Amino acid sequence: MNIKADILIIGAGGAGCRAAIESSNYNPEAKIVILNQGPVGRSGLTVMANGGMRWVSHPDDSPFNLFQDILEVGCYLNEQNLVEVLTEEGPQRAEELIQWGAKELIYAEKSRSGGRSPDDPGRGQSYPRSHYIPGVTYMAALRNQLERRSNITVIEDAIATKLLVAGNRAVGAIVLNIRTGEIFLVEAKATVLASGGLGELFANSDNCPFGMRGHASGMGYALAYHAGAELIDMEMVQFTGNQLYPPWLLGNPALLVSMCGGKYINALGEEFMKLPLPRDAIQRLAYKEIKEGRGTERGGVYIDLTASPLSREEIEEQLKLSLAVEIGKERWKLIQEMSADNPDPRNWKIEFTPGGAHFFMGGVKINEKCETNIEGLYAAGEVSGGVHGANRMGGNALVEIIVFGARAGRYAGEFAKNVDWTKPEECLLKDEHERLMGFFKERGVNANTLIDRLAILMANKVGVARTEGELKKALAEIEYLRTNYLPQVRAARGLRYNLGWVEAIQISYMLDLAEMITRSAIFRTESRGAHYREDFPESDSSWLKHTRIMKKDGTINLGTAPITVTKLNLGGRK
Amino acid sequence: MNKKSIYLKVFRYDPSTDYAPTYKNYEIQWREGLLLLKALKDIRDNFDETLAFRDFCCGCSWCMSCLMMVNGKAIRACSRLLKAGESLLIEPLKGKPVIKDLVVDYGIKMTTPQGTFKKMEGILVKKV
Repeated sequence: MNIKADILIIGAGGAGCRAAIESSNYNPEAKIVILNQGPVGRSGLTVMANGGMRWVSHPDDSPFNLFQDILEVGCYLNEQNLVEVLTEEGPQRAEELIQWGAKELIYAEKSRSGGRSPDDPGRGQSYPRSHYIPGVTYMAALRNQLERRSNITVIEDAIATKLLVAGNRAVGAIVLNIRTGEIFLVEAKATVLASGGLGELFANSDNCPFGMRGHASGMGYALAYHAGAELIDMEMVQFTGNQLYPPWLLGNPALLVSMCGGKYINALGEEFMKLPLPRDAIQRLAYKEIKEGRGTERGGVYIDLTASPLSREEIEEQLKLSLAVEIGKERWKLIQEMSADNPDPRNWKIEFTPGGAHFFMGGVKINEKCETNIEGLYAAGEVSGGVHGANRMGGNALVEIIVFGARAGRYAGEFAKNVDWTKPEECLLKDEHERLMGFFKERGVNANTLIDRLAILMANKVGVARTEGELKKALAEIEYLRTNYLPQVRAARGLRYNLGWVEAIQISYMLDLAEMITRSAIFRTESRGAHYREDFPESDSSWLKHTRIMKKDGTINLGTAPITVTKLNLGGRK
Repeated sequence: MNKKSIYLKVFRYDPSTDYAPTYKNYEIQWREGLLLLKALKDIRDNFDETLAFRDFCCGCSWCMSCLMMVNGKAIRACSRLLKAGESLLIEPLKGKPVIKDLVVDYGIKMTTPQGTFKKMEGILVKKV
């Protein structure tokens, strides 16, 4: 069953949903089709977001103040036109979301900074502007808006396996319906890519709680690459690490330290860093301790809460706060159940390891209309690059997705109104069908083992601290996996909800993505923000430009692209 | 029965090929802190790659994509801690069409207009 749509949206996280809503508002007659790997509002990265958001809300604050802070955190690698849009439209989009029913948690009395929710120090905020909308209520509000619009068709449990391009024009995608195993064509006048991030590519990512999947395979980047899109800053992976122990704790360890007054301790019992520090510095210092042999047996460092000025009850209060316990009661019960033998958080010997991917700053190059270099292809959310520069300020992701999601939907709608469908080549569907069916083999390698192996490789060699030698080894190993294992990848027979098959489809794209990241990391011979090169530890002002990737003659073509400057001159900066 | 094992009796059904549902037994090794959702993934990765369940996890017990019936009760698999030696009956969420094994179609009506919800039998419903 092939579908014709005016607008096809790939991914129904925050950005995709917001794009669908805005497209529908712009043209209630347009037929909008939106795909998601799982049920909308119950899967994907937006729903697991703890909910920290930053937008200008203080009377003395202004978009330009936030603009400056974002550039400072992003090490001036940000596309300034995009940051302007983010800071100016953020408040309006966020208030709109709250009107739609997203629940903002208000902890004014607990705030240390005077904002509406606790401010995490060391994140480069010059004014209190923290807000807190847990991902689950954020998505519930967006999903509700989707349901109210009859011109939006939601296809749950479906992934795009190929973007179709005719000439330099995006004309739709080939889609796999995971529920039924059906492979079909969606012809579209405009396509919005909102497929999210790549946490699954790095071991210990907090995008994959308990080692489960987070719907963050990063397939969207590779789809765009193969379609001929320009990608920028593919070396910029933000790491936050993950807890190794105790098993009931998940998420960002910096929170425990900053909120609960903890200390970072190495295996020798020495405090090796003091907050406030930016996210990337915490990662690097912890990595250094472990590398130099002062790590724990599990390969981490300790977070010590024994000397915390807070009482047990106060620490529990902070933990509940970070879990948004009003919604996540089950999780809190689980923590209590699992820690029954050692219930006092001050006595937990918390260990964390750096190097798990948290967010990806790079991605498809867009302008302020979310247009890519391919006509009719739009990108928004984590899959797009340029907004956050070399480091993302905490709380900006949830603002980015609604601001740019709405823009992508609006401009894709406008584009679709003025053009007609272009028919993709007939043979493409047949070829893709053959390729996907080819994974059903009796013997071979299961994709999940290959994904695990790739994730460990990426975390070890393309992680927090990089050197040319290690990166080149990683590149060789990626090539080794591709030539020796990829042809053998198989899945068990069965069309319906066959996750082994989905992983088999994803692994080749994940290998492509891994190569793009590694090549870009070798190319940028300086340290900037989240990209740290041990062999080039300083920032170099001649590197105030993007790395840029495009597909040329079937291989990765690496170059640079200038930064779009609007308000803040880069002259004299490092 | 081995005291260090966990015994799971799991509902298996592919509506496109199977005449009727069947139950399959799995014995897995218990370890400290093992959650039901993780145990299902272990089964899929190591014993039976055809087992279908929603393997997404938000980590906060928020999303409820892993709702299933455990010994007849609707619970989140991500928040169920397994105890050594226990036997569980695992079935898909009641009242929803089965896509395969433990995967059901949750349907489109799950959110509420004002985003205020309370829990009722594991499903988000409108607060009245």
